[in-house]
Amino acid sequence: MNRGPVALATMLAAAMLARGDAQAQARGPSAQEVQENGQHIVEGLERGRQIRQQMQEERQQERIEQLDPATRARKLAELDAVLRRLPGWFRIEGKIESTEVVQPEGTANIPLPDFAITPPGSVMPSGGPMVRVKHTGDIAGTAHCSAIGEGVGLNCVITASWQPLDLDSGQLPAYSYVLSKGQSRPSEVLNTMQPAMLVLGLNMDPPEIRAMMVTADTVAQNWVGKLDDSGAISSQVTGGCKHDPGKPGYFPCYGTFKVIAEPDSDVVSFVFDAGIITVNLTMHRDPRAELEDPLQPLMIR
Amino acid sequence: MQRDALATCVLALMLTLPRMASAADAAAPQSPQAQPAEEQLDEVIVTGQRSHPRDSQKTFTWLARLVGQFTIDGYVDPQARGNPEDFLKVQGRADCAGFGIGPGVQYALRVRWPERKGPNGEEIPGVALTLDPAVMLFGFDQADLSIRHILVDNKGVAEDGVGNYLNADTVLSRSPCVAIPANCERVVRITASPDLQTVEMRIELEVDHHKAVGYDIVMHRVPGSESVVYGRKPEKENQ
Repeated sequence: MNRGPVALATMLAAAMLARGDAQAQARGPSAQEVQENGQHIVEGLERGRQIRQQMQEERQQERIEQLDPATRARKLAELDAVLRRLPGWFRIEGKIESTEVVQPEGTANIPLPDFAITPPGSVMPSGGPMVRVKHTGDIAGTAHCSAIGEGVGLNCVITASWQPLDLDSGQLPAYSYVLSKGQSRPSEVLNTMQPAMLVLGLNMDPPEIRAMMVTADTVAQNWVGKLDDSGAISSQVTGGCKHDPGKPGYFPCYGTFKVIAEPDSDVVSFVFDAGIITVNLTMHRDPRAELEDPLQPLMIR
Repeated sequence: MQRDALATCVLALMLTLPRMASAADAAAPQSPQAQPAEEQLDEVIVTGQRSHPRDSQKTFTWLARLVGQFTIDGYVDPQARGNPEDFLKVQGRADCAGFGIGPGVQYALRVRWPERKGPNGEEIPGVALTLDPAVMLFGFDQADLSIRHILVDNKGVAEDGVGNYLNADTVLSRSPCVAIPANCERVVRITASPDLQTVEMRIELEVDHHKAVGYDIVMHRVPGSESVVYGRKPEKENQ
């Protein structure tokens, strides 16, 4: 009879130990501990290995899809379904977003982060802890997307514009290094969709979409994309874009292009990402947009 | 406002390119800056613009030649043997609109030829009727100073390419075939004549480095037809 309390105490102690162990695993080493032990280097290598393995698996999966007609047909049908949601007239009520990296006064010569558009090795002239500040502006316009024949090919005429984003935080934007060399603000330079022509079609093997856009400044860009887990078409630039700030020939351009078209929705989004600038064209299906179309013949010869 | 004024001047210069192109091609080579803009244009809005390299002038001149309305003739050589008895006669039309400052060019194509099947009624790769309708888009590759183009056919298949100059009139691109699952290369050769009368488009599909199918398409500018460049006019400031 006396063994009862002892057994209970033993069980409680075992349970507490197990809990403590679990908590220790969940907490892990602090950032300082990781740094001191050099674990961050190991983790970086491990992360790189994981990324390479993931890419190899994706390529292997693509090869399997090319060999498996059923998988290929299913993927093409899924892309087909998304593309067939796109024809129509749309009113654009979008957003342009810019992420500015700023630094309060007081700290000098801190290297700029990788994501800032600056020449390599640039440093802030004044400093403190760097923070990201997001600026947004409205985009207005219209879009008309039409199917090419009976197929799923798509031809879109986009007319959209925005005001340049004001960098009104009072701090130095990271890309002021670029601006100080005579370039305009990226939000201004990219305001070239008056009009922009966008054409989308299918790649058969592997099942993907191919897209090309030519903007009003005649610059052409191509992307190749596929459906992601969320059902959106995510595509990466394949040409026409030197998206490497600081290198000779750099100019702002869109590294990724995403099409979001949910089933049974009257809203379609085209999202163009130019690094620190994101142009999100939220397009509301509206036949009356045809009446607002500002596109006109400028020259008839 | 200074930027708008500058952009307007650039635009005015660019939009007169087809006319300037013919004059420039007929005469000895001369500096583009020496040629005056020949007509007064409405003010147009070009709020944003990436600065183009100096070499882009050649591309803009070439692109401007593509704008207009055309009738199409020519032939498809379904086995690429060069035997006229095999040829399938091509007919059609193309409405090619310019847009923006270059201009960029968009082709709306309707091209047909007699259907030809294999011995067992099967479709011959590359010979199926796929360009009625189809859309082509041309623009400037600022990264490589070349011409990018894409063709989306009536089945939704997209073939794109990067064209490099063979000479001042002819652009050539090579790219993998999208619609044919084989070791296939698609060679596109486009010649825009300086007299603005024709645009020749020769497409060859090479399977295992052997010519398998050939398209020889000639676009003839419709006499008296219009060439239209689209864009956006500025909103009035007080509106």
